[in-house]
Amino acid sequence: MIDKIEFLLSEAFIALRRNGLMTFAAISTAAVALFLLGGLGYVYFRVSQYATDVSGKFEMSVFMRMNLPREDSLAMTEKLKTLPGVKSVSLIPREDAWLKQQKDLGLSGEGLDNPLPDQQKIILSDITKADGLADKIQDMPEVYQPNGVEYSTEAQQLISQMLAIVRWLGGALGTLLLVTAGILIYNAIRLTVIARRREIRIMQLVGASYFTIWTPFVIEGIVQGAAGGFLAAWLLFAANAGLQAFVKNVSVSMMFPSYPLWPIALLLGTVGAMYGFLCSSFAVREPLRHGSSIQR
Amino acid sequence: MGHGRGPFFERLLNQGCDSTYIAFDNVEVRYTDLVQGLRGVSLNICAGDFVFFCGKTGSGKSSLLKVLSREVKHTSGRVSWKGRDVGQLRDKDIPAHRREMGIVPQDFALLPRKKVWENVAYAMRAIGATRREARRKVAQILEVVNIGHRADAFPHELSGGEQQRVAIGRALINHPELLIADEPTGNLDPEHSWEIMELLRQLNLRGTTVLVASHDVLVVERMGRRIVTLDLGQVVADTQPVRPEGVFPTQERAREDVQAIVGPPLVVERGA
Repeated sequence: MIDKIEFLLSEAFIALRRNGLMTFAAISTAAVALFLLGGLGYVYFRVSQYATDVSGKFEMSVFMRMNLPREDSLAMTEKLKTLPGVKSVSLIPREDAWLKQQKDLGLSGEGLDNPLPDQQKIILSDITKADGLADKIQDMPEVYQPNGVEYSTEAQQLISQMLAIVRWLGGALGTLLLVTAGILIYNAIRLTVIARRREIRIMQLVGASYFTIWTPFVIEGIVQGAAGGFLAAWLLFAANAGLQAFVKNVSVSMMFPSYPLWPIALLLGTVGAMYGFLCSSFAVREPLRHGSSIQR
Repeated sequence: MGHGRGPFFERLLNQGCDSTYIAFDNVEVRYTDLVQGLRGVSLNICAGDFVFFCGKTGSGKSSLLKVLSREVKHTSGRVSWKGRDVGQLRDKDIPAHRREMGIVPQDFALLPRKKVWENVAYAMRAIGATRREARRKVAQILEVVNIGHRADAFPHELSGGEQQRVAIGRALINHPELLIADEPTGNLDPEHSWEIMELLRQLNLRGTTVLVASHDVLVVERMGRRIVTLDLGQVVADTQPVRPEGVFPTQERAREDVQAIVGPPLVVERGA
């Protein structure tokens, strides 16, 4: 068994070494495709992170129905925490709100009834979900009608819309690039297989089984894809560093987050290896199937 | 199954065979509606035979051999080897079928990016031999086919004759009981052609059934073996071998001669 594994691995690595030009072509194609994909992914990740950070700075205030029992307000706090787009919820009891207001306004409050209801203070985790969330909360029977939810400012809405567009574009472009990268890598690996179609026929002629021929080709594909992924991560690192240097020259105030090289290299290497596995599996299937026997 | 003394010795005393080893029964190969490789070929071949298939280019020699190795699937008729219906083999059974035979294709079919010894070793390791076994046997077989001194060369660094010898070495490495050679002397000068034929003759003397497609009439006639002539995909002549009196005057002389060249007869163990 170990001998067989050693044989299949050595077949793959010898072929990678001796088909240098094709190997280089496949790795560089995978690197370019994954650089674009990884670049978009990285930008998307940073935008999402920014959206989360920005969202944390925005609050939503929800006023409960007047005279709602305290237990109901507390239950509402727990209920709100479960909603999507909500980061945290804290209950401001009407007594505390009244005291604060008296203090703020410089009133003594004596002889006055507390006119305020219980209030829930919500910190958003996703600003783009604010509108939907507000509508949902407003429909709840515990909430003051008709305007029990206060949240939006113009700036908040603008940021929310921009982020939604960025996300939509990112998703669409990401899907497109995911498919394009697959096609590019498939074509590159398929070319390496087609160039060695005769080799496959010879291997079949000496009685090599499907598995014995297929495995080294797939190992080659995985190695090419993974190498392309690692290379793409380094290219991204270089591009990020270049951009950072450029921005520093233009504006000293802008802070750039650090580039996590190794996690990205690992991620892109894994994505590349998966592409390589899938593409080479498909690419080698055809010559293997047709080479075994010419059907008449 | 084991092979002791080569069937050739028995055939010297008893021409013909009891059971058919390879049978072609009304075999047709149609490549397209207009191009036909074989047209109703019927033929029996005995174990231990040495048969030449002669004819012009396009006469069907290669098709006949390729049908047997299942490189080509015949359109109609029946091809059997050791009673096995070759046409009924499933795709997944073809590798095992080919492992029982040695194939020397017309174009040598050497793996271009493998050295000579790696080409031969691949045929062993692809069917499960260990590295140690391959290393030992490859060196031996390369000496047998007289190419040991070029073991580290790549195919493109070899002459046609050397490439041919590597292809034969690879075909022999797993001790096949049947050797199929398609135009093994096609690109060689007379001296090298005869060298290759001598090698095939020695193998046949050790019990290997040898089928050779060739249009090298001089070499074929000099070998004095069965000659099946094809034309336009049909068998037009089947000349039985002339008893090789001139080569081996007596059975005893033949045995001595063979043993002097290739050593005692092989005992080859084959898996089921």
